[in-house]
Amino acid sequence: MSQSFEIEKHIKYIKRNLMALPSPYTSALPNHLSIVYFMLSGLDILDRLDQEIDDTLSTQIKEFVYSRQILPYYQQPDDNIINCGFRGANFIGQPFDNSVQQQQQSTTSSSTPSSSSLCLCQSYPIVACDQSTLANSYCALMILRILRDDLGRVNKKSITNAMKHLQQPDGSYVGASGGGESDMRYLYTACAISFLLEDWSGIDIDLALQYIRSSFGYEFAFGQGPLQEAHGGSTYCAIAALSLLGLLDQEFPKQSVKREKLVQWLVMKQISGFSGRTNKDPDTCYSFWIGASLDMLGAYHLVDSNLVSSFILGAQHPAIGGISKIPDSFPDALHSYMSFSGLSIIQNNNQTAGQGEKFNFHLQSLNCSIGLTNKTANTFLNNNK
Amino acid sequence: MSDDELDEVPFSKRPDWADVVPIEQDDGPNPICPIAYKDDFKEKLNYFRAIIKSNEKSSRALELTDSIIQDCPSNYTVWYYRREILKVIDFDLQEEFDYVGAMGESDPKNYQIWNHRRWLVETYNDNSRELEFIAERLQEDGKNYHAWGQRQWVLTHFKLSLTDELAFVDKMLKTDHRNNSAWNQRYFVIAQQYLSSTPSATSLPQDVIKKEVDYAVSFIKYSPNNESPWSYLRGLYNGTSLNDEDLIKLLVEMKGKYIGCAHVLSLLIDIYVEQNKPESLTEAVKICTSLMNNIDQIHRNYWQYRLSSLESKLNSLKQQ
Repeated sequence: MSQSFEIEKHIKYIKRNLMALPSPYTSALPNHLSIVYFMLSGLDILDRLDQEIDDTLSTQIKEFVYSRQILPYYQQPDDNIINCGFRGANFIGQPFDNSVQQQQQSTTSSSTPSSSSLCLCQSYPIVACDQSTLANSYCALMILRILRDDLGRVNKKSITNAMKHLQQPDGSYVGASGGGESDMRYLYTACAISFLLEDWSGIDIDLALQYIRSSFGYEFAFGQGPLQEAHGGSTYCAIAALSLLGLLDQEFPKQSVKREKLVQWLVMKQISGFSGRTNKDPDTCYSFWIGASLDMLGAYHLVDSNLVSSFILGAQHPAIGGISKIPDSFPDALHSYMSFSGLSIIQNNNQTAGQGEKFNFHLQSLNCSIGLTNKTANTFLNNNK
Repeated sequence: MSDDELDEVPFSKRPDWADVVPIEQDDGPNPICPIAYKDDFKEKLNYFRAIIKSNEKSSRALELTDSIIQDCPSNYTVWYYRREILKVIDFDLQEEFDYVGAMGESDPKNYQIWNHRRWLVETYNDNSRELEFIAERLQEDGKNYHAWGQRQWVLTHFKLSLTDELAFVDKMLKTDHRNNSAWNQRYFVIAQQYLSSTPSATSLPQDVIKKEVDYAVSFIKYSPNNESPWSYLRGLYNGTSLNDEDLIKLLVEMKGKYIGCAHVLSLLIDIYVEQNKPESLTEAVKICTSLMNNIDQIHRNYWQYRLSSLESKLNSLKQQ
């Protein structure tokens, strides 16, 4: 336990994970890209991306991410279009080299001869169980943006087309074409993907809005779905989705009772750190879910930054770096990343409030609705203006 | 041989798998964040790749998915393939429920396991085990979000008795007054009965509100600082006026009894704001000041903000 931010230890923690993840991460295999995103966006927040990821490594990571792309099969581009996007890992036997047909150049060595009309297709047929998930597509695009890739080899249309099939009649999304639960998490990832691709054609926005509205519960916060318990994670997803859609202030007008009560619910989740639900214990990941929600609502100054930062700093691992869910426990990729994000939000809000050096952790500021540093987000946001 | 013993025999040593040629994972020359799998897991996946390639849907393939899922229950692809196999082979539904039930017991917060369970219930139109299975999980962890989600789904999908559910929730709440998930489930039942059935309704009927306020208060009496019944009570008035004589009388009485209870004071402030009269707002300012300075100092910044807003409301009233 330490009360100063051990940035060098965290850098080492991230670098070790980039080299190899220990076997308990076996269960993370299907969502492997999320771990890569946590590590790289973590380095970005810690302001060490340029220093730690050189051009060679950056290229290797991009190739690795692109190798996870499920593209339409060049001979039957309309077949299994619903599966397109990014998978978590190549564990069902897909070749690493997926032979993206590019006219200009082929960055991988053994591409089959390309044909000019067949950009962004794959050389082998899609099998039914080779499915992308919204979460992995979202993480893949985020990683590529962090590494300043222009998404030139992403088949954007195939992703938005697949997304159309994943939206449910109630407006929510399922995470993959193979089925599964549909909830606010996937509605958010669908919005985030649309935002990253600058193409909202995969979303029926009115339907999505209906789902968001109907998931606002009696506690004045959001559940994963209608009449489900108010939860910090789903509340973040709903607010961030509205924010990406540019509808946050319209849905929650300033000074309206519902906005005021939502802010109160969020603020009251502060115990020392934040908890995610009424009468639950604090957990470092909510320093992002709750903290980012307050930030988007312009209300972070209403919480006690001292207590949040002490809770996070107390959960740092003194020897190996990384940050755990609660103090005196073992760190993991997700809680480390969420904690870096939480500290960045504290730093940014206290800088604008003139709190000086006390909360200066030397972190990059965060775009809370998309989950990237402003530095990274601005590289593509500015292009669009 | 029991299942456990069989599981210890590597697939490469099993005679009935001798015809299958395993396929290695291809992560390219420079894998990033590679996971240091155990060798036996790696081998299972090698065989899984071969099965996918030949599109084999058989009982031995089912057994292989079983074995991989034990190591990696979050693997949605393997679960998907398992369902594809079940669609074409003969299998015992009870055995499959036992299997997914055992998985659910050992890993009760796994999305894929709950999803597979829901698929079984829906596909084979059999909810006979559900409420009891979920109740068992909720006995182990009363706040398991997945379990409550599944419960709500079963109740609505099969239109099960909401009266029985109210009794179940009551039992859960008697065990743990602070279980906010159970309070949410009570609201779910009330909303199903009075809101969802009447799409035009924007708020609960007054008599239902009164009855539910009494219910919440019966818990508040035991532990006034328990946030859940307060949150429930406040939620009952969603879409309708808080400015209710009986409620105000009750709250003022509780304010005198439960000295230092932030929840009763917070609710009174909301009512005084709705009344929007100089004397109400003056009282709200007084209460807010004590929350800020004494009673709820953790949320001091928040009460400070509320105080400034109350003061400016009061000032503008006085100037009229």
